[in-house]
Amino acid sequence: MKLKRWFGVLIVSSLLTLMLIWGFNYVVDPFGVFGDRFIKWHSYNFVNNPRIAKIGYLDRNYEKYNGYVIGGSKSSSINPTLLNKYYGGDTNFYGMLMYGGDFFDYEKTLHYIVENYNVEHIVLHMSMHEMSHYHEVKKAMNNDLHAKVLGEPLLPFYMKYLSLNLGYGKDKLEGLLKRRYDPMESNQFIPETGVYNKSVRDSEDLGALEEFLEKYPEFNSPLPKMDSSGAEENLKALARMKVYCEDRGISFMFMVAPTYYREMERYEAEGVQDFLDKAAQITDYWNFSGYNTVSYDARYFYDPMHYRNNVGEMILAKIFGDKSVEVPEDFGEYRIVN
Amino acid sequence: MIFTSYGFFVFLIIVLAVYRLLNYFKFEPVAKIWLILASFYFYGQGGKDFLPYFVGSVFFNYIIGSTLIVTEDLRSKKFLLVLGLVENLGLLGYFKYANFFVDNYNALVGGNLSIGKIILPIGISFFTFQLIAYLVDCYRGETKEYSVVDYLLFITFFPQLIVGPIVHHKDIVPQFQSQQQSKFDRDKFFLGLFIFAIGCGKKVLLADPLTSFAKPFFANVSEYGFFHGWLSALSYTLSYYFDLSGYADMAIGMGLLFNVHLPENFNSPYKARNFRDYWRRWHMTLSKFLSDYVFRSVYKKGDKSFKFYFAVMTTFFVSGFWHGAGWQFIVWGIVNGIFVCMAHFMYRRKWSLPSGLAWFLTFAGVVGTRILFVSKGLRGSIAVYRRLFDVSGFANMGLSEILFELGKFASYNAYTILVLIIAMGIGFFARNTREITEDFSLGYKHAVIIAVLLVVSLIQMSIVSDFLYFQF
Repeated sequence: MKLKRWFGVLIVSSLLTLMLIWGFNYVVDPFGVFGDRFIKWHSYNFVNNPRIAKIGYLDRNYEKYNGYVIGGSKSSSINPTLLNKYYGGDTNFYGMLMYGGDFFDYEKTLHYIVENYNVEHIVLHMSMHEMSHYHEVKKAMNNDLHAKVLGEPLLPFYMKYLSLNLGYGKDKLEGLLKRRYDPMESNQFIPETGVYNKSVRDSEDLGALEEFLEKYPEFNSPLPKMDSSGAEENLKALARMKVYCEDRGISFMFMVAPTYYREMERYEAEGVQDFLDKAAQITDYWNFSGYNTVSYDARYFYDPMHYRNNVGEMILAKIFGDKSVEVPEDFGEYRIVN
Repeated sequence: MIFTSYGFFVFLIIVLAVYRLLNYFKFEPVAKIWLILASFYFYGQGGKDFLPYFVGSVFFNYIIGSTLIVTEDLRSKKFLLVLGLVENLGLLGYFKYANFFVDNYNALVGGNLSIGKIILPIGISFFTFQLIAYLVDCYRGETKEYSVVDYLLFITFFPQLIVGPIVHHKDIVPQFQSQQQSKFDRDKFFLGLFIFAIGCGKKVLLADPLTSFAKPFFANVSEYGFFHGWLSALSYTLSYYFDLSGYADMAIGMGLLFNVHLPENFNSPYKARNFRDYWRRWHMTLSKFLSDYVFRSVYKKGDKSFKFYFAVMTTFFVSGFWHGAGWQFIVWGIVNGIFVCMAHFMYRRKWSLPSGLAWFLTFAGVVGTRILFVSKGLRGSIAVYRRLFDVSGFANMGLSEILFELGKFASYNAYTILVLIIAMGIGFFARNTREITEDFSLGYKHAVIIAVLLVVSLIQMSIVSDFLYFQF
């Protein structure tokens, strides 16, 4: 065979192989970038990367929602269904939680959903760990933001996910087989609401505090210290988000999450106080952090960093004055802009 | 720098393109120096801290070797040889075995001696062998004096520098000295590309998935069950073959891109019917080195049987110790030596087993010894053997429950099982790389194979895994 022709075959074969790989990644879509049209296992995609998969999901389903809870993983315990009840009318909230997020992620996400979806209400939820970082360079596939959210060119982004390592798709297909034996396999998210599925943890018998601490010894250990190096940038972003929503007639609520006392201890007290005071110069907000009845009782938490869904119910009851839910007196403080 | 990484591909393309251009414009000596510098750079990427030692050791051996060649006096020659061996074995001993000896000393006398953690320089076990072989041949008068450039190319040529194949100066230096070397050989070039693609495929598509499945089991045996143990043991056995032979194929393929023939390193070892046969097919360049420089130092033609078996055991003891500084490697070497002695014993008595049974027992022996090799120490390997034969987990189960568990396990690990079946099919029944390349031509078939293997491998390289033999 002539060399020229041989190279032709080599190039055509390479392109065909590449197209087959693209086809595989498009069909299996392990990150939900393309909307997961074939397998439709959105929960799996959300586990891989909620930032990207939720955009892929909402691009096809945004008409169902008009309110969004934006925040880190803790915001999962703010139940969108309960928010719908408290807001009333035709409100339908969606949980845009992204683990390890900061105000850069939140602001970018806010802009995207406001510009592309029908948004009437925004609840911005601060986990507290945001204090230590702002716009960190994300290296892992599960932390990437969608190019649409970042405003970056779409072609390289889609090419990246079309040319994914086949191992990601393989894992998803293997997960389908595993699901036959374990219905909870990669079902940690509820795609329709965007929040974590905590049905197993919520049904556990918590018992007395001593027993609980014995069962979950991680609650007894101090957590690594965190600084407040991201506080200023996060505050600026908070101010921008508030103005952005107000300018567009979107209701804006900001809340700071409850924290287990071990988590509170990891932050610089002065830095936290300064942040909370400065936040109060930007907007009214609800602060559930700090030391109170909830923060000292580990049973209100799934782990030292995440409060339970029943605490989320207490938060909403406190905010909306629902007396049917028992809320400790010292839990939650409304700070009015000064 | 890992062969199966994007960085290495860029490096290879640049080095090859510049090398070819320099040769095209008749700058052959410059092309050789370029290749040497590129090889040192390649080595430096894997171990910057050791690079000065490596460079120093290479030049030191050249001076010793060159002096040995011109020295007539036997006592002086002996002195120079010993000096060279001390330098090579001293470096290897310090970097690879110092902590092993200190640990054993402490265990023996209850001491508390510590020399801190010593990082093993990449490839030291391999190039030390090549340097020793060079010195010994210089001493024996079996070597002509090489130019420093040709000598450096023999030692540092990057495709074989880290994990072999272990090359002999007599095979490599004449190729670099040849007038033909600088000429572009189209057939060799595309054959090299084909072999390189096969090696890539072996490593990325077969070895890596199997290794990543098996590793956690060997790191934490108690956390896994019976089925997982067996699948891991088989996976590691197959992954070792495809990892090492994949690396060898890539090295041989790259050699051909530079117009250099590197020796074959594997010849379908899992088709062997006994351990004697197995060690003639597995890591052949290492076996040849051990045979030439260890076995033949102990056993001379005409010696009695006992000396023969003693030489075999000595060779495998050295092989075990060379593979790693740990008792499990020594036991691994001794067990292999016993199996090889048994095979020789049967061969000399003209005893034989039915072919299928012989293959099965040999492969079972390979799996068993591989467990010794990859476990965390001797205790770790005993834990693995126990797990493989511990069926107490099934004690209260009926057949249907066991089958359910098996089905569940198979569903959870479907991909690994599929890769393992493909790997076994290739390892047990398919033609090996040399056999496949015998009918290589610039035809459609080979273009398609190269394209598919390279494109899929490139996609899979977004997650890079070390070659298993990098630890040696």
